[in-house]
Amino acid sequence: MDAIRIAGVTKNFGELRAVDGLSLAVPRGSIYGFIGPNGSGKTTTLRMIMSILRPDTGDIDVLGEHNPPAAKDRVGYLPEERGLYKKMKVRRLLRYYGQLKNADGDLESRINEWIDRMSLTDWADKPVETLSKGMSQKVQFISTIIAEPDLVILDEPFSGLDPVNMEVLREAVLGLRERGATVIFSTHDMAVAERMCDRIFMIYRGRKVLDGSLEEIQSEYGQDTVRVRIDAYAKMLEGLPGVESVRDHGQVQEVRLKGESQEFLRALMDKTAVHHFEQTRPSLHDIFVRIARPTEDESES
Amino acid sequence: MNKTLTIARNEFLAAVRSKAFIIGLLMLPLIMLVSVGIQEFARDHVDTQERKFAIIDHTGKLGPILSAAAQLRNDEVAGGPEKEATGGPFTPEIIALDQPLPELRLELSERIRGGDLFAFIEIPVDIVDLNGTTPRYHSEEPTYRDLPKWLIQTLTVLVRELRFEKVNIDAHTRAQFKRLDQPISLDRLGLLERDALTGDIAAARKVDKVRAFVIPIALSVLLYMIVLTTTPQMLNTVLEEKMGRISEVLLGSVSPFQLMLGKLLGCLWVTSILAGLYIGCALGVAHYHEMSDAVPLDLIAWFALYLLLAIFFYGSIFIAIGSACNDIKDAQAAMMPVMLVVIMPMLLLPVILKNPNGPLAVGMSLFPPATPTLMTLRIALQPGPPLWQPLLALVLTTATTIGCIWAAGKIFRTGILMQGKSATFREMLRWVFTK
Repeated sequence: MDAIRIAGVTKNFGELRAVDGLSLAVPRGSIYGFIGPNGSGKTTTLRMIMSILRPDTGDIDVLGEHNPPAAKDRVGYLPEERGLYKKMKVRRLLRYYGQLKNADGDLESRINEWIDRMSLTDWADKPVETLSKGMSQKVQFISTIIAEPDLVILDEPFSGLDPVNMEVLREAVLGLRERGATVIFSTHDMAVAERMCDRIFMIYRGRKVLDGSLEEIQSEYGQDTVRVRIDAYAKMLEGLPGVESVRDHGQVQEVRLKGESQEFLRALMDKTAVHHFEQTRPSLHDIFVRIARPTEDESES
Repeated sequence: MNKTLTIARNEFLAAVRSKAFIIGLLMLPLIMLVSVGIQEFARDHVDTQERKFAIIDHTGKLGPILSAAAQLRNDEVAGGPEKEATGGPFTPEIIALDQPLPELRLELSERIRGGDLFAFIEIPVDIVDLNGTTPRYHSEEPTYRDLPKWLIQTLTVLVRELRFEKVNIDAHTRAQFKRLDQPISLDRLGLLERDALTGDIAAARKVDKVRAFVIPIALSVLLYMIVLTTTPQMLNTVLEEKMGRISEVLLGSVSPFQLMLGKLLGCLWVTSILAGLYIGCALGVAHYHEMSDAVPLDLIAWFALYLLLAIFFYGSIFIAIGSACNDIKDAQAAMMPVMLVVIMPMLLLPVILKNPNGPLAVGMSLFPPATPTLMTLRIALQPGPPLWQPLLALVLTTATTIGCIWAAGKIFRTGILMQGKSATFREMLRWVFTK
């Protein structure tokens, strides 16, 4: 059974159509990545799943409930912009958020366990305003999952975190899936989405433009990409035959071809020494940019 | 309902743990204590400062008499080994008319400025005439009233004597006239009633200022103060949650209406604590002074009912404003019209006291935003309004409050998620009437 089923959902804000005829199914126990440029309808979709907003048309089933508010207690939500009471002490805040989800079982021991796991023991009885950004984010994460929800929605969970804290949270997210929870997370970090998500969904201008596993999505876009490491600057690549676009990563360049790769390789070897040449599928980042890059008309306007 | 109570509990704890609550709780008794203390201090510390005043006497005879009267008064107020002073001496100085009057007046004014004199009085030559010129009193401190008051009283007596003399009324007749001129006083009493047990007509009780004025005013002011100090706080908490994106997290767990209702309930608990403490203390004091019957239970019940409605009425309005605004400046600007409505009953208090059952009093106490304060006042004032008026006011205010909560809920639902700019009143109205 799917954790979420969205069927033909549309949401307007005045004249603006934020979500347009969206249909989506999120399988239970999966990690589902929501990607899309700013203002594309991601947050609106997440808010509708959370029943913070109601769709104008269409249906949303959450955890088998046709009436999404009925599932609220089984859904944890970490919004993009963190919402913590600055003056409240960490332990009290976690207790309050847990109680609002009707957390069953031993809430106190779970709070202690997570505080310990996230290395927040020394801060448990201090007000939130005394915490660093990373610590606040960990507290927000704990508050999202303290009631052990079946569905966890994380909006940009890793933004602004240092690698150590990011690793802690990443393990915690993977742990949620092991427990059987479904995780949806929205991110602008394509590398994270590629590494962590079982399936990826992209929304653009309110419409679904991608939905599937990374492999399925990449195979849709064929093998028109090569990665090269050369002695010359990336600028040189742009003038070669069959090159559609070049993405310079510094040490490695990613080239999208519209012609034959062998012909491109020959032309490249005529110009410079080639240390690495790999024919590959386009990265999620590349696919994202291909979809969301403004058209020439839009750029001019 | 559990979640609503959880929110209410959180709001309540956050409020009662704040410094503002502790200060608010202690403020009223503190103000009362301080004012009593100041009165006691003022009573114990009599102003015994000497005040010199000059007399320009155009009559040529009132000046010396006034000086003699001042001496008599000074002897009376002066302290001694067995009694404390009750005032400071007034020391007169009769000024010779040896230069032009404007120059003389200026010179005396300069002496006042220099601190040598406190004031000067000019007694006109025709003061004894019935339509004579009024004496002129010059001083740098117009708020000091004891000296001019004494001068008026003394000159009135002196001039009256001179007027009697002028029409040849002898001293004996004057004394008789003075005796007959005693003013009439009034004994203010309540109504008589027949004792149900003995059948005797019970004596009417004297009008008691505490029962007649102090308790009604204190109750209505208490209700007003509680509403004024607690409900605007909700605007701040809603705004804080909105600006800190906390509301989005909360709405992931509860519906907007649950959130709003929880806040209102939390505020109600806070006000219950405040009202309970103040009224409890007041009843204790009343019991101590054997005046327990001065605050009847039905009056307390009306007070509680109207307080409840006022909290929900004004609370929902402030919540709606907080949710529709995006910064504190916009919120304060939007609060202004509401604050005017909140303050209005206080401005009407003196008018209602003067005529508690007049058409203005009846009309305004039936106007829902003013009902809690004004109807509580009218119920507490004797003899109180006919029962249908508090009942009608209750129905009208309840209906208005329910409408207000409904409208605030609609504004809150939309406004709390809106970021960027504050909503206008027109937009808020549109949200209310949008399905």
